[in-house]
Amino acid sequence: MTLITTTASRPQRKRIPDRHLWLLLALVGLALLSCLSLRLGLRPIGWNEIWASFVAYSPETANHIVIQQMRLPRLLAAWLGGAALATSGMLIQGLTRNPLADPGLLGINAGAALGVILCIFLLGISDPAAFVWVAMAGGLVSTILVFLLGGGQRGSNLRLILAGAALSALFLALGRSLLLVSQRSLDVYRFWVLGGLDGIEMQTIFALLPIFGFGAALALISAFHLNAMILGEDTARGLGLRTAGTRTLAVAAILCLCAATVSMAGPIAFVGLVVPHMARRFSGADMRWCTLFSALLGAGLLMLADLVGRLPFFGGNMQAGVMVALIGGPAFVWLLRRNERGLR
Amino acid sequence: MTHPACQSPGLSAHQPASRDVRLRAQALSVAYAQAPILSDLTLDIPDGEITVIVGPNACGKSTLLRSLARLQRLSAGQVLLDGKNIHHQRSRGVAQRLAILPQSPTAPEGLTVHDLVSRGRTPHQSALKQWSRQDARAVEQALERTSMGPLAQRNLEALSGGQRQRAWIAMALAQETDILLLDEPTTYLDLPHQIELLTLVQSLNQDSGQTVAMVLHDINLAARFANHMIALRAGEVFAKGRPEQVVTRENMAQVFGLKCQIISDPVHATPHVIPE
Repeated sequence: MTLITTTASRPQRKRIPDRHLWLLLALVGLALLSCLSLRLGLRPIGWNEIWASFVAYSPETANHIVIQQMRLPRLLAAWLGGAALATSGMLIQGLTRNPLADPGLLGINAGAALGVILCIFLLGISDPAAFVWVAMAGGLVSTILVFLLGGGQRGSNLRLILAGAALSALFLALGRSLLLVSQRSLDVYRFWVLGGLDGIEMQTIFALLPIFGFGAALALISAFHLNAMILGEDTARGLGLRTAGTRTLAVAAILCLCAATVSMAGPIAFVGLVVPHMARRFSGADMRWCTLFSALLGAGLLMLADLVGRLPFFGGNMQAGVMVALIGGPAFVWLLRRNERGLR
Repeated sequence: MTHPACQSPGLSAHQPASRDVRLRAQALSVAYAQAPILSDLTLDIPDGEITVIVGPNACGKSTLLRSLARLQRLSAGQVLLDGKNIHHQRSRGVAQRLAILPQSPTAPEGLTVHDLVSRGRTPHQSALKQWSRQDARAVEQALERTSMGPLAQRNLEALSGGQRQRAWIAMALAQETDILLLDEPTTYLDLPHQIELLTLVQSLNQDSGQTVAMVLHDINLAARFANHMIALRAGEVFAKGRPEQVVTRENMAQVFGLKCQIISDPVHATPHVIPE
């Protein structure tokens, strides 16, 4: 008996410390980045004052307001949004077994964008705070449409993303044709569509928190099922998986996470596509670990992008949605090249 | 409706022995977009034996195997596993008794052999109850029985075709089922690796009495490794029984349209087809 258990645990003992070490490093890195994110910006603020803004907040001190009303919400939004987008990317790539799949493929972003455009165009609203709920509604409607067009429970994963691509294209075209005829809509929309974390209010974050939480719980359950799903639908069903149920669960998780993010920060591309690939290099092939690492790296990347975009060098307000690709692109190419050399 | 050839005396003698067999197809029909693939098939997969399904391309061999593993939507009839309709049972429960290896399965990049074999434990786990000592033992045993232990930490894409196929079989073994279905497990393997793989399957069957049903293209290999054969033609069972009952000159002509002589394999004494 003792002999069996020692041989049985050997193959894992080799890998798990690795993963745990990376996990620790990621958490330390995120903590450091979070501190820097509060401290740096157009106007650096000292550690003492940051601390004071938490324990003895005074609405008369300008720096306290900057920390509590601006930098803290941005920090939280980066944590939530980055983690949500990257997790969704991991789920959609695992579900469709397509490394180029992006959560945007389910039509969430296109639906949210159309919602926002309609809101500006028809109702004349240009207050970003009002966009939260129309973007959410747009994302919800389009994802449900995509799911139904993709055959619902009985569809296939391929049909799902094809329906998503078709509907996204349709919604984007509709939106653009509205923008063509309305200069004012375009002015408001072009800031929203870049995606960014400025101007997010604490209230919005708290309102969206339950949706993020629900999505995260669904994502963790899906990750276990996707471990079988990535071997192909036949193999997965042979292993006793209800593939239709798994598909519904994963789409629901992605819907919650992405709709909450897009309504908070606009459509931020790239994180969902690329971070899962980065995460896999640290986590190995187990989807549960992949999901955890995706969430952490996604949060880190978005936080970094937001932080760098706020530095004086970039004029103090480069949208995080733009910055994330400027930073993440080269980082990804470097990772790929390093990995290629490692293989040779 | 069974084909006339099934009523030959040698075949009906086989029927009574398999009355309460664990896996059985009853009046099974499958159609894709109205076109019938399988029509009204009734057959048993004898317990503890190696059954090989043969037939020309597009005769429905794979569809039959997939139907037996509840991967196929049926248009009529049913598949019984342990006496109950397989589609009415919990899929996870079925997966604890019956494993299937689909034809040329694919794995994502970066998966190690150990990762893959561990996935075979899926039906014994749930999102809440995950890795147990029992799982570790089953994975270790599956790796050992397929001689994949030394390669456990290797990436799947770094393996040869034969090793990769052994890794997939190890995954199905880790599932610890009494019944194992294999869909053309020798595809893309050269002859020595085909023999190696089929010998492995045979030893699994002989050592632990695991019931095996598989689809094979090569009649001679089928005849050599099977205890029981099923020959399909155009979606119907044309002949079934022991290899020497199925691999006959007339059956080969009828099923494959192949003119041939049958000799007895000088080494294994199984029927051997010599095409004319």
